Amino acid sequence: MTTQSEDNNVGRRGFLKRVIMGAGLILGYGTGASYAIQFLLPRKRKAKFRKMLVASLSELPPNGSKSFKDLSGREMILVNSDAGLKAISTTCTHLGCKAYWEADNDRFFCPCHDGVFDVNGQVVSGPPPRPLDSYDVEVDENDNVFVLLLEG
Amino acid sequence: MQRVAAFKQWFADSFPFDPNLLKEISSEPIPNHLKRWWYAIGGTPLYLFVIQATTGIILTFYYVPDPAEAYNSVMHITTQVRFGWFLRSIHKWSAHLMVMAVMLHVIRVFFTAAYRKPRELNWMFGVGLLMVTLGFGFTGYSLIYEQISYWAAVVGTNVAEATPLVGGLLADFIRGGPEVGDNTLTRFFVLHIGVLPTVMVLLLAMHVVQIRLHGVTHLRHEGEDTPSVELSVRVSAPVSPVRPQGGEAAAVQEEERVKEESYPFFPDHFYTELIVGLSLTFLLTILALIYPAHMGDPANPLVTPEHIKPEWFFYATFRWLKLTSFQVGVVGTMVFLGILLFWPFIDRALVRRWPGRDVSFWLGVIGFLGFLIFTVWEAMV
Repeated sequence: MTTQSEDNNVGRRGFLKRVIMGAGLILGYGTGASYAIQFLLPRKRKAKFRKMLVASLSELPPNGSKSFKDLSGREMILVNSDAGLKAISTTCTHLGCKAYWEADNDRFFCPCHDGVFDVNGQVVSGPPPRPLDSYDVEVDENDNVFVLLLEG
Repeated sequence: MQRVAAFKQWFADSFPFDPNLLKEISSEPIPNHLKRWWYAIGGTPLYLFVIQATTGIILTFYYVPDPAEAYNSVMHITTQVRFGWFLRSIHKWSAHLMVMAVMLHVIRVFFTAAYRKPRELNWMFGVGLLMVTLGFGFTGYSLIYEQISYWAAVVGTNVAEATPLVGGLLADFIRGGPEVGDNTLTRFFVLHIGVLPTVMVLLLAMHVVQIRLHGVTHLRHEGEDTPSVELSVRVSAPVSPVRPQGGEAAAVQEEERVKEESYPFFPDHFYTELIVGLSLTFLLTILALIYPAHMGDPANPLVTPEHIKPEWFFYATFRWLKLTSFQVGVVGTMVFLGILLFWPFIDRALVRRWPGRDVSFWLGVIGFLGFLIFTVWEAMV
């Protein structure tokens, strides 16, 4: 009886030792690993919008469009469609290439995987999963058209 | 003389290595069919990897991994540095040949079913090596920072982003930000010259050790009832592979059989590899001279070129992405890679379900032809 309970005691003590040592090792190395991962992952910045004057309303008759550059110099299209004024980004929603605004065909065409969008940014054909991104447009009392753009 | 002997003794004491062990390790009996090069094509990527490492290190002396300078530094290597154009061209062509050789090796191993038990794990190491090779190709041509480099990086990292569950983290990690930018080139550079080479050397070591432990697969043809005895030896075992039961005569007979069906790795197969290596060097030189690597337009994040294509080894994926919806395109690519990785186990299930029907063979034919057709299709348009 006594021998067995002594054995048990030693076993329990040994077991606890292992658990504590193991937990300590995992915590120690784990902390190190989590710092390494944080170092490698880029810091997230909050998106900041900026208002930019891009056109005057007189330049945009119904169904008219105007191309302009966003804050990083990328082409965007301002469209005056039935749904109102819209600023459409030309970054293809499939895999991020730049779609072209083909004024003759009234469509956006992405050369990477043959994606086609209509004047409102809606997908016409090809693999893109959703319409082109559009940005809010504001018109002030002097018919100036502003677009709220993401700062690059 | 005494000094020499003393030095020898000192060296033996300081580096206690038994030369006989080296002899034993290098006397692996190689089955006769490996005298045909298409069975020995796994050695080719290894040789090309050494060329890549050598030329790559030399190119790094001049390359500048900075978005503003990268293109100019590659231009400088190509037009100013002595033999720069040549080394860059060798590096490029060797990369193409390496991808091709790895693919041919995969096809050979697949159609001789050499991935079957007990070599499943080594097939998986092999698929890992294929992916690392493609990773080298992808990061490599992005470093030049010409138009194709930039847009391939955009598309490639967006594909990674679409990975279920971990996509966002993965893409952020590779790009170093929400989109391809200043951090991305540095990361591609580190992957290309630091991370991938390390992973490749480790995987290669595992791959070769496994081949050595299992022995080279012995071909068995249809109609052969008695499976030939494996010619393999364990590193620790003596060269004669099978311990025959039946006395001296049987032992001699067994030794004769091994001699007849195989030849030693060193020096015979080693010489073969040397000759293959020299031929490859010759071929690379010719390719570099006739088709030297040139430069496209510098990367412009504002404009995607109207005609854009990745390197040929991504043609099939590229075509697939054009033909299918976003989800099917990206997830389908990953499913394909998953099937490739776990193929030995899928094959086992197929054999169990339809014994003797060669389902795996025909699936392989379909998969391979599909890849070939998509590649050629993309190349033609």
